[in-house]
Amino acid sequence: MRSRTDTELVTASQGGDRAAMEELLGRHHDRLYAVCRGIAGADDAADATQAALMSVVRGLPRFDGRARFTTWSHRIAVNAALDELRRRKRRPEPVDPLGGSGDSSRERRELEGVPATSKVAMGTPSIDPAALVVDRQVVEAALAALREEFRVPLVLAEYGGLEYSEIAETLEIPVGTVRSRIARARAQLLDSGRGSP
Amino acid sequence: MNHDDHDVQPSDDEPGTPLLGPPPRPDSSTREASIAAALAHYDELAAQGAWGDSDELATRRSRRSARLGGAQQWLAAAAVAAVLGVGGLVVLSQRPESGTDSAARSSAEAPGQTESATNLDSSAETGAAGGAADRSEDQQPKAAAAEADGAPEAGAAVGSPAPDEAQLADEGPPTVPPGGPSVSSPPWPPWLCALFRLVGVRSC
Repeated sequence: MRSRTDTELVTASQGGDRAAMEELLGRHHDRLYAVCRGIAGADDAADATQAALMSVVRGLPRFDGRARFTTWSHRIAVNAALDELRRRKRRPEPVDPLGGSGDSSRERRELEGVPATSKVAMGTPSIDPAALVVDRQVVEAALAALREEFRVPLVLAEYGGLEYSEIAETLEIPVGTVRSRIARARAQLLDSGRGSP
Repeated sequence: MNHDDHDVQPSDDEPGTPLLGPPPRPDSSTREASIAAALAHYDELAAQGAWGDSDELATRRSRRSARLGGAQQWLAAAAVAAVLGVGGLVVLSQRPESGTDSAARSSAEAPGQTESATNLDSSAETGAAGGAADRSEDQQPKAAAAEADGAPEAGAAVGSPAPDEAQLADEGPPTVPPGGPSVSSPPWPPWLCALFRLVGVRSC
């Protein structure tokens, strides 16, 4: 049997089809989770994803199909993750040895301390990636060290699997800006992974 | 130099090119709990009647653009009609002559023909009672001729007593009464007069 498209599932969900809603959420949950985790970090990813799913359900009656469901739901996930980040900043932080502060010099010092395995995790081509285990924590620490405006489009590209045009639509910025920010984010991650000053 | 301000040229990397490794995946319990909570929220909204008929929604969505276009057309048509109507009423209120003069103008196309004058009488009778119906047959072409010359006296014949035919043949155009042109008894039907009064036009 042919699987229903997102549009069909959305329409059915708006009509009260619970199974369609469940299928829609199940189809997109993991990508939304990955985006939330890339933006908000592992500690807050589950909460951010939960908030995003609730917002998707709550906003579904008003979703009119002018944007694609993927774009719309990722925008919600980005907002939920950023909200979690801001909420976390308001909370007292017990211990956060690699927590990013937005200060570039501090970020650079932190990234210089990234162990060698992270170089593989960040795609250094001279080492066989399959032979090494990706250190998720190190990658997330490097991501957290990036400024928000660079981190979000990179995460949407890498974890959300969105095209540049979709990221531009999601973040409501020009495609050229998306391209530039992702390139800059990649360069910073690679620089930090190589231990460059 | 600020590290973040490096002039990085955009690469040709596709967004899918892995740099961070595979996307992190949630554990199954987190996933199930998250979806279950969202579905519970969906059920709450269903209990509140948030969800409608899916067929109706699809139909409504497909018709939305057409409906918007139809509404815009109606709005434009109403605006044009309002402008034309108001403009027409203003023009009518500014004109000293009334519909009787229009009929006179039409009769002037064949001056001297009593048939057209007779037709004018009949049209005046059907149009409205008053002085217009009292106008003599020969007066109509003269008044119309005067109007055609741009003389303001054309409208003065309205409401004036009907002169003798022979006298009219010798006399010139009818004279203007002291109060100026009278538009007190145009051949408008009563309902149209009432409408004019409603919009503030004093044509009746």
